[in-house]
Amino acid sequence: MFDLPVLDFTISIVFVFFLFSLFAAALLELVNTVRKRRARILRDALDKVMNDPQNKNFAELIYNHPIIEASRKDPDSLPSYISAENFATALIAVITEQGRQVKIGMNVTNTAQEVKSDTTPPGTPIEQFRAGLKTLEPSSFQQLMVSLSQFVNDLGQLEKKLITWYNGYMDRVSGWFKRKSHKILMLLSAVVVIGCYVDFFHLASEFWNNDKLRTQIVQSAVATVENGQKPNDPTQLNNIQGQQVTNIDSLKSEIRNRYNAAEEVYDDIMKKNLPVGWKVAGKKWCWDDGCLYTWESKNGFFGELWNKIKLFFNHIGGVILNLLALLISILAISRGAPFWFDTLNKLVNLRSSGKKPQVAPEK
Amino acid sequence: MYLYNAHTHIFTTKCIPENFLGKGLIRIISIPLINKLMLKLLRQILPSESDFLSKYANFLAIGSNKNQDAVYQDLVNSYDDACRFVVLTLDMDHMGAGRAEVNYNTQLYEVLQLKLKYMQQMLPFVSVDPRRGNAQELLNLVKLYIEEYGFTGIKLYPALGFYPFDPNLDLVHQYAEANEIPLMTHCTKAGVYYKGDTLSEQQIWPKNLDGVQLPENDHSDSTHMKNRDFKNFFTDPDNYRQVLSKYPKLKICIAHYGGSTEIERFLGRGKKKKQINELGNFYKKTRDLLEDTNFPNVYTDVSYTLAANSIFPELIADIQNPVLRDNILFGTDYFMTIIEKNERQLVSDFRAAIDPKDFSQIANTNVKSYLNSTFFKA
Ligand SMILES: [Zn+2]
Repeated sequence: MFDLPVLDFTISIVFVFFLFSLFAAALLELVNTVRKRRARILRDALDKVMNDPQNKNFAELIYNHPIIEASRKDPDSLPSYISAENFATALIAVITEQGRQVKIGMNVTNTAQEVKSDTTPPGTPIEQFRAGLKTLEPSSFQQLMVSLSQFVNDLGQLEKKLITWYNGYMDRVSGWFKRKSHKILMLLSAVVVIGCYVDFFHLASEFWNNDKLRTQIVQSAVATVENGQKPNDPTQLNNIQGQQVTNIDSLKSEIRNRYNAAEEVYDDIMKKNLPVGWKVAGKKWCWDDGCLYTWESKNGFFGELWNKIKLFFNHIGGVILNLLALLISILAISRGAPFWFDTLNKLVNLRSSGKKPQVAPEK
Repeated sequence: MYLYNAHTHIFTTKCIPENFLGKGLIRIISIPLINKLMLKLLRQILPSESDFLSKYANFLAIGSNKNQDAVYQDLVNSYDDACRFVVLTLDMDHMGAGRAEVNYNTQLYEVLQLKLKYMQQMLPFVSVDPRRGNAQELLNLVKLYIEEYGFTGIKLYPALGFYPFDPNLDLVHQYAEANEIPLMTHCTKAGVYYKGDTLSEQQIWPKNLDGVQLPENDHSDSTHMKNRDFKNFFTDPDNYRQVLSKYPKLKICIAHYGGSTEIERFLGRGKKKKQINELGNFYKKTRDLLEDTNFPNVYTDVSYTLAANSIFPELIADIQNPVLRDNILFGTDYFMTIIEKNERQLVSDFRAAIDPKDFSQIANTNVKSYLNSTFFKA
């Protein structure tokens, strides 16, 4: 009942945004992998709280703890994910360890050094933890630990408190990651838009005027919604898709996979014969009195430069319009693939009247 | 019979404060993939292994090892003999370059874990910086590591921004002299140095010196100098005359024997490089201290300096000189020297040039008497 050209037109536009945002997302995944962004932000965030100038860098110590160490088979890599439980276990062990008292000295014959004594303070595990904590100099981290362990009766309760703290902190870290990722995504969207020349106004006019193209794109959009899954959001910290990068070789293959994924998305887009690409740019930047798009070297460098400057100002309105068309595409695409998938889903469901809106699977 | 290397470092790039090379650069060189790619690339495009850049890449590759244990194992694997290694920690928290991912406390803690692991083989020194605390606090730190944790000696690195006669070090010197605990101090015109933007009064010239005789002039006229030049005031071997006048039996190694550049200069062979802050020849000054009969326990080591084959004849002549013979130590300055040669090459080149008896003198006899103290017997 909503089978109107306006709706189909909108679906076509949204679908194109969705496709290119998928491409931008794939590129962001590639950047995330190459730069190991998740592992790095996790470590940075923990350093921020736990690199205690009055004491030690407890982040470093928990990263060297066997339970965290096990999640990185290669000593060179940082884990991109640490579960709250593992974090709590490692931190309790590391703080408790601070209470350990070692004495090294010469043996009785004065011929070699040996461990004279190696003791941990007596008591229940929570008492041992507190004894370890007591060895710390006053600092903001030490205060945090004191306040978290103040009213607990056993390690189980302490663990729960640490888990709650860690999860809360990780929410904030996700926020940081997301904000930073959006900036990168914006940049990548610009690369995609300019690289593939996605001109919003040109798209709009093509979809509005070309019924055949529109129908074809809408069909493709419907098929995508019906078969597709909501895409992953690479701006989310917890979206690690099981890609525990453990060593150089697997990092290399991971990067290759990410690259292939991005290429696949790109090839898919190109198969759809969308009204995008540099052939569009050729049309957009040419007028009766010349092209800004080409360079005629026969006029000499400065002659041609002068021509271009004249052309630029003669058609300043068109130039601004073309730039605006690109800017709209960039802003739209940087909204991210999940957003456009949801929008597309709603529109397609609206189009097929009577069909209940499909709930996008949460991931 | 053990071979003793009296001068090695095993800290990693993570121990270096973030503003030292710039956080970005540390980040980049700490990414092993980039490092390995860089190494590969450099090895391909550079004509030979001897090229500076490829050595620099080696240096980064070792320094960016995940932890100190890995750096230490690289060291141990460079030797076939039964060896013991003096591992010098370094307190870089006060060098005016911000904080490090592995701050000094963490570095010490990690080295202590390694000491437990390599009990007989690793002989760590605890580094003290007079800006860490007052005299008593510094003494407590040193006592803890020497008497409880089995560390063998004390490390000073004045170029990071202090004078060895700083009053905060007074109790440490007193304690070291009384217990024959060895001190190791870095003493060349090269190496890392204080990075801060301003100089404190203590850095211009220490005050409240109790019983230490100091020359009249302070350095307030020189505060305009670049840090890299001003740091020579901190490193000057003559600074130890002030310390030794109060603690003449102090066992101290003025490391690097002035450095190969200063030896070349002394011999009139070096490039005549213009220097604002000459302060005399560090090789000559170090040797004068060694020869001074008032200070029987002054040592030097050949670390880093032994990377320059050109000065082997003079170095060996000094080792054979009866006045100096007992007070020169073998050490390499691993892994700083990776820029010059790999550890294995470094040692084998030197051993090829020196008589085994002389080598055993500096790598065993001398180091043992240097290390022996109330708390440690080599
Ligand atoms: Zn050194």
